[in-house]
Amino acid sequence: MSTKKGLRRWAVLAAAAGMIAGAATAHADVVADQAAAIIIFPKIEVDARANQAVNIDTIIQVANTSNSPVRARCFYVRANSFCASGPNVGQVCTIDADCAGSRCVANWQEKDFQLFLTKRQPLSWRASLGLTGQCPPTIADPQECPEDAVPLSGGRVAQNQGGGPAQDNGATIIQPVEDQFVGELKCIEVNSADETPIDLNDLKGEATIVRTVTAVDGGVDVRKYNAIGIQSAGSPDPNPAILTLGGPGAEYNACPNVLVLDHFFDSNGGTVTTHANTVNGGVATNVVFVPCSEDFEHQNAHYGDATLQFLIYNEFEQRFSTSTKVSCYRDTKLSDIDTRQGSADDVTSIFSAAVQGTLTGQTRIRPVPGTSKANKVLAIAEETWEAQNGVLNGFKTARNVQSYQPVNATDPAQSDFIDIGPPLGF
Amino acid sequence: MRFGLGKRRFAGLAAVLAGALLSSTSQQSYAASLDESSRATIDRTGDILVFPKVVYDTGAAATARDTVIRISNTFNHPAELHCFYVDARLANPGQPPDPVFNPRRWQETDFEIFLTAQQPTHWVVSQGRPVDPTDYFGGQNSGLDPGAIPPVTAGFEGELRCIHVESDGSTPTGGNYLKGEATIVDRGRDASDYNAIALRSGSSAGNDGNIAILDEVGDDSGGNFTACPQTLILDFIAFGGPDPVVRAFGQCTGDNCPVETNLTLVPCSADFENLIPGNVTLNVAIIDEFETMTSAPVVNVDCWLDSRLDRLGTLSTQQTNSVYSASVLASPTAVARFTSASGGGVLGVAEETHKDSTGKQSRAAFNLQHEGALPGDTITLTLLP
Repeated sequence: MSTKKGLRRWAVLAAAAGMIAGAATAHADVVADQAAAIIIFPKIEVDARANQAVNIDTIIQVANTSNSPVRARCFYVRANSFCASGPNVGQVCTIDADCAGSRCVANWQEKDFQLFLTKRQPLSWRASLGLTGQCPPTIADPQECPEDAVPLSGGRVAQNQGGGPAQDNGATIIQPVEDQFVGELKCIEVNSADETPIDLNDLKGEATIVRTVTAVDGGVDVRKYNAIGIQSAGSPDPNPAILTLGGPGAEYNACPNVLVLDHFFDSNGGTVTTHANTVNGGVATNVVFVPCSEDFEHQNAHYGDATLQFLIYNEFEQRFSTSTKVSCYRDTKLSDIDTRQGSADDVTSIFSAAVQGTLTGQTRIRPVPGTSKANKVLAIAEETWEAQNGVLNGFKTARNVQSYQPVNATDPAQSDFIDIGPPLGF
Repeated sequence: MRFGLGKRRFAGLAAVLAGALLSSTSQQSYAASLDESSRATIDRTGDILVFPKVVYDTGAAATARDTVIRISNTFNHPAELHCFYVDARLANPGQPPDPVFNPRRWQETDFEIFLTAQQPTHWVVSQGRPVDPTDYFGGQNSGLDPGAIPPVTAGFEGELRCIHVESDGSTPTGGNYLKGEATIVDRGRDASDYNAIALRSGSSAGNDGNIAILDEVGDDSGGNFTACPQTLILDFIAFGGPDPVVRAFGQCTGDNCPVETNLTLVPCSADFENLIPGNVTLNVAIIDEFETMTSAPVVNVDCWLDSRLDRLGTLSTQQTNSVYSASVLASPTAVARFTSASGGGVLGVAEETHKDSTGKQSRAAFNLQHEGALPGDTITLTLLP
């Protein structure tokens, strides 16, 4: 397998070299089931505060699918909102009502780290813990290594299979996120030698969000999704600091023109009945949007702001529409898109089963392009199923959202950009 | 400490397994493509939807499960679908599977549905969905009924495939109209969902009567429908190891909060006309976070496979020392690569179960990633009179 994989890599590189001289032929595919050059985890969630009834953490898994070492630059984006003033100033909030008369203001804070993966190596960590320790060979049994230890570190190296230099995880250090964290993670494959983006597709990932409840009737709730992958288009740009996604001179495939979401309409009194009509309860859907364009170098939180148009079809094939804005990060219940935040207005939302009259719908989400960039978004969907018993306040699921798009590769408005800044010099 | 378990037994190293394999059967030959990946996708629409895991459990336990199917037509044209349930339950459901003494049934039930332009639809497998014009506004089955969808019987476990067809109901056709999702929910309302795997049509789709040939590699290569992947990749948490989050938050007494992963695989090939299921043999390689590579027992997917990872490729009673288990793996997670050795390709999903020390549990399904393409599988639809 390694020999043939190596031949494949040469074939890919040769194809990439051939494409440099010609026009970029970027597709508009994002992939959640294949390896890619950029992987995005739209939702990383942590609430690790002590003495809480509910705690949450995210297990992040990243793997190198190739038979060569891989390096990646990764960026956490913390998108928690904070109370701007008043008695709760500085506290994490979700809506203004959390701030006792003050405003709940969105925030956007980035921190980055490097990943070094050996060939075929998977790596995992808890977002609240990170990987900051070492696992030296003095620990004879690797199972005894600390949970926060980088596996191939402190002098421990990978087994050499088929020859070649010893491999380890290099300067990988993954700092833990804050004990209250909601946001995203982006990892971009870069050249091992000079940290510049590279036209290979070797990364894959998954995120598992685990919620525990410490009350007497509590329990555990888990949801899992695949990282969204953006594959290289094979045409490196002379400016390695700015990645071009789609459009002319694309280095990477474009983000989708349209996201297509199948979902239950928010129940608001309606129910989904299962088990031969013996079990019923409500369902609500959240969608998490992250912008495709981001400016990490200049910390511009609003660089990728987008306006989204929604076209909703119910099972009568009746059509409704609405729109909303995404500013740096948006995690919203469907019913809160066209109504005020909170549940008071949900029953009148066009995403409500009470309005639509059918249980499920199909929503097509289209970003409105700007004049110089596409302002597209990526998304995952989460469902909350009303629990029959217990105090979890609903079991959650997560899944990837499908996309549909023909793309005009020569239109500048089809490009998104990620400014990752110059190499860090590790 | 990464693990609170005892010292692992030494599993040994194995050489790197062979990659692409060429194989032929009496009916099909498979020529793996290394340069292109299969376009079997969970991210885009297609014309064949595969739901590998559909269940409706018997009993009143809180963990007894049912499945909700959602399918959408994303185009501005109507679409007719020919759907096939495959009942793959064991001859003796209470006993371990065995190819001779306890084989799986392979009983197909098919039906047709018709979706108007842009129409979404859904049904619950335990209930089906009748054609009922008196469905009241806001009711369970309110909306344009897509067709008479039969319920499955209690104890059903198997797959669902829906194929976009011509008006004769038997000839697969193109357009890439369809997308789908399945949500598996138990009586306690713990739910896990996954995207249906979509096989996209190529320019030659529909030229072979009632046979869908899965030979398209890459985009627009002149084939019929997307070839299945050569390799499936599963990134898994070591079987039976403690959930690190549950443990960290104090809900794991004595490290008794295991994570257990189930894998469900279906052969890409299926002959519904002659009732011949697919049969695929997979080679398996496991790589842990220390880049230690181990070979795992060969996996045979005979019509449908749904197995705990620690029982893959072995007799069900031999659960100890599984190469997938936390007692053997050196790291908390690992990657398993399932590569077809014979019989064509497979598609699949996985499901993790996380538990706390009181036995409460929750499940999360997720789609597998894939590499390479293996053209040559076929799906033969029933000919309608």
